[in-house]
Amino acid sequence: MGRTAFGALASAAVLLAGLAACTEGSAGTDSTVVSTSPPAATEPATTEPATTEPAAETTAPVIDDGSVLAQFAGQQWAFGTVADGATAADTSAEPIVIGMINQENSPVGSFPELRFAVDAAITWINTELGGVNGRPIRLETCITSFSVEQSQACAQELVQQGAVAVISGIDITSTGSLPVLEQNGIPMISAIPTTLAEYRSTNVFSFSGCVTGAYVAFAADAHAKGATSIAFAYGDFESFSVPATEYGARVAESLGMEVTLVPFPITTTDFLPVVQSIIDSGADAVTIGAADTACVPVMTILHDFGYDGLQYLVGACAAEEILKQVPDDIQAGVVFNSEGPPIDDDATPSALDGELFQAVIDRYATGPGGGAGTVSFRAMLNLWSVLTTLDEPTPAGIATAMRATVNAPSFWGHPFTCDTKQVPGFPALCSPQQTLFRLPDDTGTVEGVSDGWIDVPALLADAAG
Amino acid sequence: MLAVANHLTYLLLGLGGGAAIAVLALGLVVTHQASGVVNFAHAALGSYAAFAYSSFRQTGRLVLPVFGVPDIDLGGVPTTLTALVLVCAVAGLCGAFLAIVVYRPLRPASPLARLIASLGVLLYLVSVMSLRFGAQGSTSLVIDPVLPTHLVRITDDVVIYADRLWLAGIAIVAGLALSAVARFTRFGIATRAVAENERAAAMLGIRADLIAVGNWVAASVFAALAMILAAPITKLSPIQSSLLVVPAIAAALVTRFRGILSTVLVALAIGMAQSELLNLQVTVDWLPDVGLQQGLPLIVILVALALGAGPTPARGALDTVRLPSPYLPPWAGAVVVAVMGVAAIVTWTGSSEWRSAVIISCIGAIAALSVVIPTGYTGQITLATSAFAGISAFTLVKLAAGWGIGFPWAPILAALVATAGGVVIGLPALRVGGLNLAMATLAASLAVEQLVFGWSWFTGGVEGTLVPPAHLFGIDLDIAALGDDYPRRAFGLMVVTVTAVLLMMAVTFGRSATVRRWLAVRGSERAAAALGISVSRVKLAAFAMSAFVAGLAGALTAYQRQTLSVRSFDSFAAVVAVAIAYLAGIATPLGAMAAGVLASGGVLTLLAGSDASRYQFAVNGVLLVVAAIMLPDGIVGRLTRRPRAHGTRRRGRSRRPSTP
Repeated sequence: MGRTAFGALASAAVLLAGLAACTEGSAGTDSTVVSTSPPAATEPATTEPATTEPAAETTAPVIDDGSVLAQFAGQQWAFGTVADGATAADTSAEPIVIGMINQENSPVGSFPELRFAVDAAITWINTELGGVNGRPIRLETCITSFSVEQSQACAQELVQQGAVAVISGIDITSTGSLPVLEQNGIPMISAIPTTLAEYRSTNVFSFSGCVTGAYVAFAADAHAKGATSIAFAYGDFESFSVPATEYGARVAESLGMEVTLVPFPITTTDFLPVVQSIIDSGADAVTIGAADTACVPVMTILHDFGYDGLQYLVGACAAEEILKQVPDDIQAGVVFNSEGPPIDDDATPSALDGELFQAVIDRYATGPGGGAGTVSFRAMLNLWSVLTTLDEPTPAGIATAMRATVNAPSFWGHPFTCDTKQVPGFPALCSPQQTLFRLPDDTGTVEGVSDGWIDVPALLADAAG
Repeated sequence: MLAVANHLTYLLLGLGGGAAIAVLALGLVVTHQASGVVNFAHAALGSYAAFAYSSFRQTGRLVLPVFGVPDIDLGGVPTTLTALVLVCAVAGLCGAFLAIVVYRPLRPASPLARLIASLGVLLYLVSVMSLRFGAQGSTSLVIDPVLPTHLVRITDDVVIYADRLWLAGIAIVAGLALSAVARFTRFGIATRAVAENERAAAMLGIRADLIAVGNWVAASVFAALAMILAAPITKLSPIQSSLLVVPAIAAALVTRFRGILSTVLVALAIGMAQSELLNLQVTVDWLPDVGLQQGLPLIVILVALALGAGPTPARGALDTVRLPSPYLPPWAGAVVVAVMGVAAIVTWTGSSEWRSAVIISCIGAIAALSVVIPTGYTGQITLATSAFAGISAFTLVKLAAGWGIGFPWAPILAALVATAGGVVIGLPALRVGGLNLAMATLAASLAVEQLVFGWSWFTGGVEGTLVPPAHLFGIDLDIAALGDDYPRRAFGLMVVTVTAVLLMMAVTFGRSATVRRWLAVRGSERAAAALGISVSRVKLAAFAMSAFVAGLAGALTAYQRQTLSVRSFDSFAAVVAVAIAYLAGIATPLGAMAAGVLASGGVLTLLAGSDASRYQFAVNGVLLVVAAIMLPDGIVGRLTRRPRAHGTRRRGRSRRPSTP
C-alpha cells in the first residue's frame, strides 16, 4: 500500500509550505515586477562564468531562427552575454547523466513543477546552449512519494545510471537518499532543502538561505528600523526551530535585541493563543515561521489585536492566492523575504533572467514549470555553469568545483559561494543572502524594503565573533 | 491577580481550538454508538465538505468525492445557504454510502477490520482532496466564514473572535441536543439499544441497519458542518485538517465513546489546556520547549483510561464477531525455510535493487510479526509498535556509540529495553480491550513520540544521530558500500538470517501449548480465567514479546538507514504496519512474511515499478476497504484455510465469538 502514513508527517506538509521561504515569493516569481541591482560586495567569480557562445570544439550547427536566445541576443544575463543564436549539443557525443529525485503523487504534496522546470532547462541547454562543451545532458528522474525507502532506492538507482550529480527538487524523505549519494561521492544539488540533514551535509549544494537566511535578514532589518526586541514564533519542527533558535535569535541577540521564543505545535488548531503570546511578549518586531496555512490567520489576528510592531513573514506568504484573502491595509504592514534580485534596481546582470526563464518554460516545458520551478531551474542552470568549467565532469570533479566557487554567478539570484562557511553549521547553503519587500497597496506594486542584498553571512560572522 | 487573569486569558483563547475538536468528537461518538466504528475518516469527510463548500462558493462548481464524476455546475456562485445545504446533502449521501456499502458488511467483522476500513476511507478522501482541490489546501482557496468574525471583549484583558464563542456554543448546544435525542426519542433509544446489545435490540424489532444509516448520515452532515464552520479557525489542508480526528478521538476516548456532552467538555478542556500550556512554555523557563502541548493531554488520557475505566463490556452483535483465523498449516515451516532460502540466494546473487528490496521486505516482515503476536494470538490490538521500534533503535545508538557495546549484544539489549516499554504500554490492556485498547496504545505511542523521542539526549534531537555500523567476528556488516555493492551482501544475509530465525521461532511457538493458552484468552477471557489461565500474564507476555520483536525490527531499521532523527519512528507508521499485516494475514507468521513482501520499498514495489500513479493513494484506500470486507483472514489466511475433516458438517456459524 505504499507509504500510506498520510498523517505520518503531517509535519511534513507544514514543513513544505514554510520552506517556500527558499523561493522568491511573489516578487521574485513574477517576472513583470523583477528589477535588479548589482549584487552588493561581489567578488569576481573563481569559476569561469559560462557563456552561451558555442564551445570551440563543437561542430554543431547554429540555429538562430526562433530560438529563445535569439529573442534576447546581445543582452546580459547571469552568465554573460546572450549569444546571437542557438547552438545544439552534439547528439552523437556521450551524454552527461544528471539525476533528479522529486516528490510527486504524495498526499503531503506533489511538486512536478520542479521536474518540469529542470527538464525544460536541460532541453534548452541541449538545444540552444550547446550542451556541456558540446556534450548533451541526459536527465534521469526518480519520483519519490514520501518514503525514506523510496528515496534510498532512488539514490541507488541513480548511482547505477551513472549520474554525476543529483538534483533534489523537494524530497521530505531525503534522509534515505543522502547517505547513499554521500558514500558514492555524488554531489546533491538541492533546489529546496527540506531537512536538517540536507542543510548539514557537505555533499549538498543549495543556492539558497531558506528559513535560516530569512530569520537572520528579518532580525537585521528590525534592528535597523530601531526595534529593541523581537519575538520568534515557530512551528515546533526542526527545520523551523533550529533556524529560529540557533540563527535568527543569535543574530538578534548579537545586535543587542531582547529575544522571545514562542514555539507552538505544528498541528496548532487556532493561532489565537500564539499571537496573544507574541503580543504579551511586548516585542517591537515579530517573525513567524509556520505553514502557509498560518499566513492568513497570523496576519489577520496581529492586525485585529492591535499589534503595531514590525511584522515579518516568509516569502511563501506573499503568494497571490494567500494575499487575496487578506485586506490590503493588513498586508501592507508585513515585510516578506525574497531570494530573487533586489527590487527597484535593474543594473544587475541577472535582470534578464526572469524573462529568460519564462521564455524557456513557454518554449520547452512539457508541463507547468512556474512557481517553485524557478528554484529548480536555477539549480540546474548553476550546475550547468559549473559543468562547463570541467574537462571531464565526474562526481568528485563537480563537488570540488562547487566547493571552489566564490561569488560564482547565479541564475536569477545572489552569486553563490559553496565554501561550506556561508552559514556556519549549514554547509549546504551557498547563497543565503536575502532581499526584503512589501506590498504597499492594492495595485500589485512591489516595494523593496532592504537596501540591496542583506549580507546574511556577514551578520552570522559578526554574531559568532 | 494579574497572574490569574493571564492564565484565564489563555484558557479562554483555547476555546476556539477546543470547540473545533469538540464538534468533531460529537460525530465520532455518534458513529461509534451506531456501528462500533472509530471512524478515522470522520474529519477527512468533514474536510472534504469544507473544501467543496469553499470551492463551490468561489467557482459555482460542486466537486463530488468520486473520481471521474463531473462537477455539478449551477451556472453561478451559490448563496451561503444553498451551498451549505447542497454540500451537507452530499456529505449525508457519503455517510449513507459508507454505512450501507462499507460498514454494513463489516458488522460481523472484528473491530480491527472496521478500523482498517476507516483507514482506507481516510486515504481515499485525502487523495480526493489533494487531487481535486490541491495539496496546498487553503492557500489556494478563499475560506468563506459562515459565523460572525467580529471581536468580542469578555473581560478587560480578554478579547476573542465571535466565531470561537459561537463554535463553542454550538458544540455545547449540539451536545445537549444529541444527549436529549439519545435519551428521549425513539431513534435515540433505539440507537442506545443497538449500542448496548445489538442482538437484544433485534429481538425487540429494532432494525440496526436503519439505525446505523440514520446515525451515519447525521454524523456525516455534522462533520461537514463542523469543518465548514471551523475552517476559518483551523484553515484547510488535506492532511492537517484530516488529522484533527486525533485529538477528537482522544476526547472521545476519555469518555469511552459514551457520554456525548462529557465528550464535548473534555474536548474543550483539551483545547484550553493546550493554549495554557503554550503560555506556560513561553513564560516558565524550566519547561521543555518541545512536545508538551501535544504530549501532556495524551498522558492525561492514558491515566484517565487506566484509572477510570473498567473492563470493556462486550458489545452484543447480531452475528458472531471474529478475528482472522490463527490456523497454521503443517507445511508452514517448510514454506518459511523455502522463502527465506530464496531470499538468501537473491541477496547473495541479485542486483543492488533486489538486495535492497529483500532487506526492506525482511524488516517489514519482522515489524508485521510484532503485530501478529498480540493481535493474532491474544486478540489485543496494538498500534504502538513504532514506539517500541524507536525506543530500541535509539537505545541501540546509545549502546553502540556511547558505551561501545557491539553487535549482536547492542541490538538484543536495545530490544530488551523496548520490551520493558512494551510491558508499560501494555498495562492498559489489563483494563480495556478491543478498539479502546487500540486507541490507548495509539495515544501511548504518540506520547512516546512527543515526549521521549523529543528528548535530544536520547535521540540526538533535531541534529539527528549516526548509527554505528555492525561488525561480527571481523565481518563488516555495514550496509554502506560503493556503487552496485550497496547494500553490502553480508548485511543483507544478516537481515535474512535474523528474519528466518524469528519466523521459524514464531511458527514453532504458534504450535506450542503456550499459544493454545493465549488463543483461549483470545476466544474468551472469562472462560480462560475459569480454566486457570492468568489473563493478565498472558496479555503482558504478548505485549512484551511484541515489543521485543518490534525492537529487533527497529534495530535493523537503524542499521539499514544509517541515520536516525526524531521523525524516524512516526506513530502512524504503526497504523500502516497493522494495515499491511491485516491485508496479508494478521494471525499467523506466514501472514507476517507476506506483509514483508507488501511493505513499501520491498519486493512488490520493485516488481510493480517505482513510478507512482496519481491515484495510488486512492487505490490503496479502496483496496484496504475491499480487503477488510472480502479478506477477513488476509491473503495468506485465504490461501491456507484449514481443511474440513471428513464426515463433519458445520452447524451454522460455529466459530467462537471473540471481541478483541
